[in-house]
Amino acid sequence: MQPAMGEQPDLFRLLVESVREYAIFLLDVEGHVRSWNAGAQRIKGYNASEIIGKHFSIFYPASELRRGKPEYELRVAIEEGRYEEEGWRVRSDGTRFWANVVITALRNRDGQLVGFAKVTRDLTERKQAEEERANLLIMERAARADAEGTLARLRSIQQVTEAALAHLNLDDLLRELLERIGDILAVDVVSVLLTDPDGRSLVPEAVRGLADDVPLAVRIPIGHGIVGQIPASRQGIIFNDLSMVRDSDPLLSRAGLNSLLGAPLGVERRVFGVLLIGTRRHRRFVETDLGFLQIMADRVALAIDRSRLYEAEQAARREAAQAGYAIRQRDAFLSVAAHELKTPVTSLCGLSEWLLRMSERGIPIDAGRHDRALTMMHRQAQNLSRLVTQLLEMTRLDADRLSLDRQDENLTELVRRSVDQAQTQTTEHQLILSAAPNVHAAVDAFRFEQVITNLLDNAIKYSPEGGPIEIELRQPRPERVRITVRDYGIGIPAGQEARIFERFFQAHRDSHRSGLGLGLYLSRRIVGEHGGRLTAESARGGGSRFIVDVPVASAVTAEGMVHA
Amino acid sequence: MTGTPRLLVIDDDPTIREMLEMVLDSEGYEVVTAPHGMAAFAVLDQVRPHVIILDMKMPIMDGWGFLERYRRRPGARVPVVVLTAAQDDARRASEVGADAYVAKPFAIDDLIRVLDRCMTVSSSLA
Repeated sequence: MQPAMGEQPDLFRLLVESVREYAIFLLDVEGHVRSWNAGAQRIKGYNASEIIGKHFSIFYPASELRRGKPEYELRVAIEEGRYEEEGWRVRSDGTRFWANVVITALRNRDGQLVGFAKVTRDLTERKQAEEERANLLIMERAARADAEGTLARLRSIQQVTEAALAHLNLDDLLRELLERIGDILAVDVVSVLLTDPDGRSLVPEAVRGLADDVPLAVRIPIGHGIVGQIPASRQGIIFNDLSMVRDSDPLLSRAGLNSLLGAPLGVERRVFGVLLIGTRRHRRFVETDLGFLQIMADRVALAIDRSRLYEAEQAARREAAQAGYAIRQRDAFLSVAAHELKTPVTSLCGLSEWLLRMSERGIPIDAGRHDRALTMMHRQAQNLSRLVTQLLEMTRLDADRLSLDRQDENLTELVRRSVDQAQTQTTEHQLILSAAPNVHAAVDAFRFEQVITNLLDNAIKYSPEGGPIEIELRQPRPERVRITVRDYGIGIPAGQEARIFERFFQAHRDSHRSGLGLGLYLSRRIVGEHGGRLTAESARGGGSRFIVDVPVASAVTAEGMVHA
Repeated sequence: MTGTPRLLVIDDDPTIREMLEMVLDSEGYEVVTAPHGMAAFAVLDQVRPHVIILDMKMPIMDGWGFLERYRRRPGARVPVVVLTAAQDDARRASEVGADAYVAKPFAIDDLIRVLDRCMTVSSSLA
């Protein structure tokens, strides 16, 4: 500025000296205070006589002095003409204030440095206000984060609760719960372990996030180890560094977990499992995390409890339904059995009463009819006996297996005997046997004859129009024997070829006297016990074909008990 | 009614058919048998029975099938006695038009009594 008037420098000095808002003063080239104004006195607390001649470093905090801040500022002002900053300065009473500082290098006309002008403003209030605002902002952000966190957690809990209510089946329920919890908590592994029925150990029930090759067939004794102590103490655990224990635990080491959080699963005072979450990277779980996991665990526990109640109820219902079915089946069977027993009894009663009447009345019966009546009575008595045997056998079969007495038998002879016997019962059917000679096999002769007789009886019974019944005995391979019984009767209703072997099953229940529904069931079991198979098929051209396929030797031949 | 009373016995069990033949022949009836309903219709017009004795569970055409078709037949019908081992069959038989029911096994006198009663009805129809 060019002094244009004589009084101007004085005016200027007055202006500077009287400014109170700014500390404006001069430093010499070394930095000693050369002038002072009212603002400087107000802001820094020194009066002119105290400070003039002192080095300006007196205004700096010790930490800045150690870093050589005053010298640095002068150097910058010399090099760049000006230095400006905001920073902490010290008043004469030692208190600090936040200052805006501008140092300007003063040079004469030759450009030689003659000193520095220093202008300082006290911005402490503004700084405090700023800091306060910043603090408020931080607090507000924290509060918002807190609120958002709480909301997120509430939402998570709601999600878990929804998942917990969505399924009644335990497997579905756990799969969904583990998935949600894994996502919500951003963990690698989530697992539910349940106490086994004896209450001594924990068994993994569901796991999410483990590779398929991690073995799950582990049992963790309750009261032992990190996880085992959770149900025992009913307390959750936080494990932020598993590296020490991991090596001794195959599951943890295979899972590669580093941090683990576990909470007991229980309803009221009943603890029945553990909810575990784990991460592969190190994570610092804190009490809040555990608290949150426990909230989840309580929901999971309620859901498991509910699911178990539901499944128990379903099982009870199924059992009741099965019992009901068994009772109905037994009732139906008893009614059939009564009917079957009444048929031979009707003939026996009728014929014997007739013989008695004739004898009482003194009416002679010719020898042929007399014999015929006795023959029929005898056969009906045999039928009755066979039915009673079947009934007894059925009750015995309910309890245990058939015991076979297998001996080397000439099957050709055995089958021929059965065929001859069956032929005596009918004149309307022609039983035609085609058998390879002297086929031998290790069979229980009594049981095997039962099978053949049963198949022949069926063939006769279900060919009400009479006709041929063809029986074949073959040895297709040295170690197998095949017996086929083929009739031209009413056949097997379509689609029931397998069902006819069920106990009590009667293919022609409504239209035909079908027997007890035991014959084929028993026959198949007998053939099965011989290591063979009994099958049925509808034959082309009508009627049906039953095939017995048995091994020549029994499985015990190797032990030398049976020699076929 | 003139001549010997005639019966048509329909039952799938050959022993029961033969037994009824022997018993009723001795009681003065003429007996013709059929193994099921279809066979019975084949001989019905030829035999012209006074009473029919009918079993219920039979192949080809059972007792219900026979009764249903017999009921729809035009012309005079003779009494049908259902002879069955099952109680509920008897109930159902009366629903489809059987006239009497005798349970298996039966006492000969009971059967004769029922047949005699039916015979009276039959002769009044004739």
